[in-house]
Amino acid sequence: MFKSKYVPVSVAWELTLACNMKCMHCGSSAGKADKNELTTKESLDLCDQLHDLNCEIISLTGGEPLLRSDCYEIGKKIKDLGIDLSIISNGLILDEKKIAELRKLEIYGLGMSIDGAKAKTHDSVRGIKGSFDKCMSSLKLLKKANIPTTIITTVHKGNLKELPQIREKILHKANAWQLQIAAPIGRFPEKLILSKEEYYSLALFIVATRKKYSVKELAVMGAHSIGYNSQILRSTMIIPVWKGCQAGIATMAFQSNGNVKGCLSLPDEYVEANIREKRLKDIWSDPNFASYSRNFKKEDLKGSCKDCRYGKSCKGGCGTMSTAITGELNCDPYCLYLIEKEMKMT
Amino acid sequence: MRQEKVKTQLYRLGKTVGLEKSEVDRAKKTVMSKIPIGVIAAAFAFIGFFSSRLEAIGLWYIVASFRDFGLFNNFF
Repeated sequence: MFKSKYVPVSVAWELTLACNMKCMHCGSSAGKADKNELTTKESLDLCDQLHDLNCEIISLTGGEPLLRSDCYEIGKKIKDLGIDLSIISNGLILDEKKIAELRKLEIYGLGMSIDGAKAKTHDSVRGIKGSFDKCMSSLKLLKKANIPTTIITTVHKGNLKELPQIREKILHKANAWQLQIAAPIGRFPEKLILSKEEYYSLALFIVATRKKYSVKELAVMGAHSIGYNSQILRSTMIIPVWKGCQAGIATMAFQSNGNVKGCLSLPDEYVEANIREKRLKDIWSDPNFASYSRNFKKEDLKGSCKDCRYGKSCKGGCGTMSTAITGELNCDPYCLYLIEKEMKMT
Repeated sequence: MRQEKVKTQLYRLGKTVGLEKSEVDRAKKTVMSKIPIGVIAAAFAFIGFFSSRLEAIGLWYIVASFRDFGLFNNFF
């Protein structure tokens, strides 16, 4: 077994760019499959390589991963290797047959997106009429099949005010709810990104909902791009200590063509290598892999993060948000601590 | 006076997302909430030396697992 200082505990794998939806916030600008996507044989080999690196959980995402005819085969391989498997689906393709297959795989979790409380909002975000009703009926089927389901809501100006109603819709139907902010990447229109105040309201909503409902009723969390050292609010995350972006430290990501990154959402300039060119253990053990993350120094902080008392441990928040908003790493302006200072709340 | 101002700001921000004043109040840190969180965070930081999974769970899971929630959400 390969030993390294770093372990890719959690892996995000964009299995395909093929998608049956046209979501406005899609970071991959998915639609048609990439002609150069990994073959089944290459994908199964990648599973073995990830196992050798002591990977603990793989999240298959896309596009829509279930559109790939070998998704089940790859999922089974992952499970046979003893790695936890989660699948992110938009829910449109789910029917009783697909759900029975997922049940057989004993997946760790299925993530399904719901981006509005009303069909009008969800369908407009997702670009497909009728998708809201389909997703809600998929949710019922998943509940019936006892498949652990996390609803993922990507929040922007167009759906922020619908959060309480979305909560009502999914309560007692889903196991968990993950809220994340839409970043101006892929084809997402910049004009819809939350203002800092709206971002703070979102964090407030997450914390309030976590206090309102028990884990059994609805486990709620903000994604890694929401939080950071608030002096006022309780934690938006599961563990209340943000220790900086984990790209290349505890996480690794693959694009459908075999490109390797520390985090899937980072721009393509952060592609480290391609698994068709090198073995994964050589890529991961390269001292220059994700050097922005592994070799981070306090001097790397920029903008308002430069003199922040939490800078050394926080590393300037989410790398994706930071690059998307400012063009540089280590200065994510969407930070609760920073906003509290700007609004003179602390 | 300052605390009242902050409270007013929080109520306004909460109203944007349909929160009632009592919900906003419960979302705030208190002295009592900080103590157990500090102790547990330190304990988990210590355990984190042995299990890097904790880092990934807390910070970057694409699907937030309800299994891990069961363990952690009870504390925080």
